Amino acid sequence: MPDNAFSRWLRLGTDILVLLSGWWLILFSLASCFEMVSRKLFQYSLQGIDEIGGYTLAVTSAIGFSYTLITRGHTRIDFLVSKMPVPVRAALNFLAMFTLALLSAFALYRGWNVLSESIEFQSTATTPLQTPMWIPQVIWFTGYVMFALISIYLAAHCGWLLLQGRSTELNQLYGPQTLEEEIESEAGDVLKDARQAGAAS
Amino acid sequence: MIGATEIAIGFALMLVLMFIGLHVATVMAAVAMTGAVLYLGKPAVFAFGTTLWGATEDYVLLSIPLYILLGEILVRGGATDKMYRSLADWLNLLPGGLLHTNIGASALFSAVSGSSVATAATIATIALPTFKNRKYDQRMVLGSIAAGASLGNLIPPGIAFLVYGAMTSTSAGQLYAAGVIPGLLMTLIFMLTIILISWWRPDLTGAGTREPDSPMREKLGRLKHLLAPLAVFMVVMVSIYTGWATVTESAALGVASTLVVAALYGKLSVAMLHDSFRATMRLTAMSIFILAMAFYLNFVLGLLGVTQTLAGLVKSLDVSPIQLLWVLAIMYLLLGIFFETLPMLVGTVPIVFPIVVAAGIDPVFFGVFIVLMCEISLISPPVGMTLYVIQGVRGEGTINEVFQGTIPFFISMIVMTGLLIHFPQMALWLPQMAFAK
Repeated sequence: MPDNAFSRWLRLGTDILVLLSGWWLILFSLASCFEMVSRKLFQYSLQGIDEIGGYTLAVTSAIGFSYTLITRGHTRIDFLVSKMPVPVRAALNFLAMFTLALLSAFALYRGWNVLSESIEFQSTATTPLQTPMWIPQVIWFTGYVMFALISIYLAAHCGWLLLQGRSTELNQLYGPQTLEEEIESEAGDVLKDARQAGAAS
Repeated sequence: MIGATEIAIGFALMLVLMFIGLHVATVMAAVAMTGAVLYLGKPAVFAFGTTLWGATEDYVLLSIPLYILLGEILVRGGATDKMYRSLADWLNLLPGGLLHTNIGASALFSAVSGSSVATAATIATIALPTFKNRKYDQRMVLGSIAAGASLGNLIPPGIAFLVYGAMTSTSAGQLYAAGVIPGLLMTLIFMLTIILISWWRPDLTGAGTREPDSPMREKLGRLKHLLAPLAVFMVVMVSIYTGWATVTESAALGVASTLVVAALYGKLSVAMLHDSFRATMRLTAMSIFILAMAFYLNFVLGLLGVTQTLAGLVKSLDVSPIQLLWVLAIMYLLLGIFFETLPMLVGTVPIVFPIVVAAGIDPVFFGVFIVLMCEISLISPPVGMTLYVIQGVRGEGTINEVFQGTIPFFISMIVMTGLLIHFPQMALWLPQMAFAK
């Protein structure tokens, strides 16, 4: 992603949402344990925790799409791409980013359809909670709005770099992650801790 | 109903799009859209939104982020170095010495952790310095870490079983039960491989550098560090099999118990949790994005009648289940050269599963088979994330040494594949016992 204030703002925003999702998962886990114990010991069951659990996955994953996009975590098969000459690689990287933006735009369009139908027909879940479907779907849809905006923003930047012939820069920013980057983003902090522990012992 | 030629063209299209480096999720969606536009029309194309909501609004699949979170917290909050030391106390005594510790530690760790990359990185960081001044062949050291880290999906609870279960409507609990014996057997076969090599070529496996055996009292004292990951594992598995908890609830219990473990080691902090959240959400979103698109592909293929076409094809070919499984094993070995676990799983299940069912193969058994195939893909060069992670941690020598090191373990996995195909009861016995009532 280009290095400017808007990008930094996006990074911060998605990071905050990811941390909130994480706390939500912890909260959900603890509530779930509590429910299990009270169900077994006191025959008292919190209604609807499984239903909320279902929404949780839809919502947190939709929010996570943007974060994973920004941290370049969406999987690509890097078998041929990295063996191509620089300009071809740039074109392929642009193609990947462009098609991803198309997909995210289509997901947004069809996602809106799901949400607007729930609002129009005032759909409720067929569960004891009778949750109006638009409530979880609004948050879910917001995730898709962010995802589409960020993918289109990145695809546009990527296209701009391609037009200007800045292939090397494009490949650096939008190519499949190099090994070091992949390790760093998947387990960077763990490795740092482990190395420190190794040095200390 | 669509013909076999069109299915083959669709599959080829998928491979081509993947090789030119489009995102795996995009490829799934593109293939599904192509089918929907050409043969089904607007309603099937527009059902995309409903599938996105329906596929991810799923209580059982919520266990995916929970298992990942559990592993990420344990990686940061446990005491992996002490766990490694304690395992070494006991496994050292076998011929091949510390190499067994690599297998054991990686297996134990990756069983509870949802990420084989994190496992490989962690164990490699701890293990490699240990081998520095000892006379082990580097390749064996690297290979044993890679082999161990690949065990994670086969030994429950693993993400691959959940994904397969969701795509084929197979019970995750039964799949977990089915994975236990093959997972343990695979671990034993890896250890046996090391023992055999140490007889054949003692120079490769640190001959003459036997560690001094620590006093029993010290060894027993250190045993408590093994307890943490084992306890989490037991909490998760026992709660499922006693019927106390659903798969998702057991994952929630697992998360809660790792919080306790991290607190006991004094490592529970907001910063540590935040790092775990980031890693969890990244891996979750990556998997769920691909999975959601795979669901849509599955939906379109269903409407196209791919299931019936393939079933008809299998009936007309008149192959036995064993022949079919060997053909599939070879196909997966080839695909595994290029693919990682998740793309391979979701890319092939929609096509392969109908074939397998038509041939009369048990869906639970096939789940174990395909997860074993995924494990092989993890360690088969040249594409295999864990191999590069280990090389990256090592920071010297060449990746070829890692490749060579995996060869004995790669062969053991093929032996295991043969055993599984010819003795399917090793997978089916436990679920039949556990779910007979």
